[in-house]
Amino acid sequence: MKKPVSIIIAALFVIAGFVQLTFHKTTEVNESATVKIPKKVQAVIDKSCFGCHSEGGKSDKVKEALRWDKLNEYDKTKLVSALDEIIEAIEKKEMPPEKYLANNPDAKPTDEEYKILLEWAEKEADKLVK
Amino acid sequence: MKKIFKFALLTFVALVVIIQFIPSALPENSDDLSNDLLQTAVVPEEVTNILKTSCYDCHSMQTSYPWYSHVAPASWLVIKDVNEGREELNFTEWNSLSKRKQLKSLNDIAEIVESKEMPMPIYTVIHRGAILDEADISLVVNWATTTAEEMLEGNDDATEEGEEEVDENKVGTDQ
Repeated sequence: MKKPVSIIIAALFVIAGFVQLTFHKTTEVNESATVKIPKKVQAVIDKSCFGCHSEGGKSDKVKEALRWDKLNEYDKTKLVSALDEIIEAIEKKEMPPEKYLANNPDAKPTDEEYKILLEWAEKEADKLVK
Repeated sequence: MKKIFKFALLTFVALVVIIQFIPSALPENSDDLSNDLLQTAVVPEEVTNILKTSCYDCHSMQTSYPWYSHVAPASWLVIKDVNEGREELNFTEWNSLSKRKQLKSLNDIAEIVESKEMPMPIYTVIHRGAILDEADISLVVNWATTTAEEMLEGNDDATEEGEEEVDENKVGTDQ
């Protein structure tokens, strides 16, 4: 049943590629209220967040709460708010939820990955809110 | 049949009496308003009144507890709702919150009031005066939105000097 790890990794790279493209399109919209997502941050998002918090996510409620692929379409206040919630979810390790990890153990971020995402979110939030 | 009814009634009364002895305490209020939103920020009077009437019972340290909130099982519900409300947003702590948290709260206030999720039906069913009509809703939403925008605008002027540093950070990130 278990697929070879290499296929999964290859798939992740393909997904990451699309994600990068998506972000490139949207970053131009409003310079004052956008975030840039470095590759190593994006890798964490792809691994641990994107399953639910992007277009393909199954729950509308979850997507309502946060869409990583639409971050740069949010207005500035909402963007700050989203970053704040991201930071809080990481600090409290509320995300990804235990239930999700039980079925998707590969999505569990390492401490280092949590740190990468947290530091990025804090930096972006600070840039927007000075 | 009569006997059964009498028994049920007695049991019910006994239960209500017994549950009064289960230890529970209403969340405490505080008179220290030094960080309260309404004391530390300029909020239009109409909005002030709405916040006080429709929000402050759960979202501040100035909860007014009606008589039934001292009686179980109603008290349990009040305790839970006030605790959760204060944790989510406590206007009495407003000025001690970071700007980021304030912006997040303003964003949530606009969203949640607009979608009519708040004030909660279980609250307004008793506190009829807390129900927001369309005019109230737009007052609150506009206030929250413009306050947030003003806070963010203030930044743009202040950040211009730091522009260079910001640009440096961008290099080698996304590209």
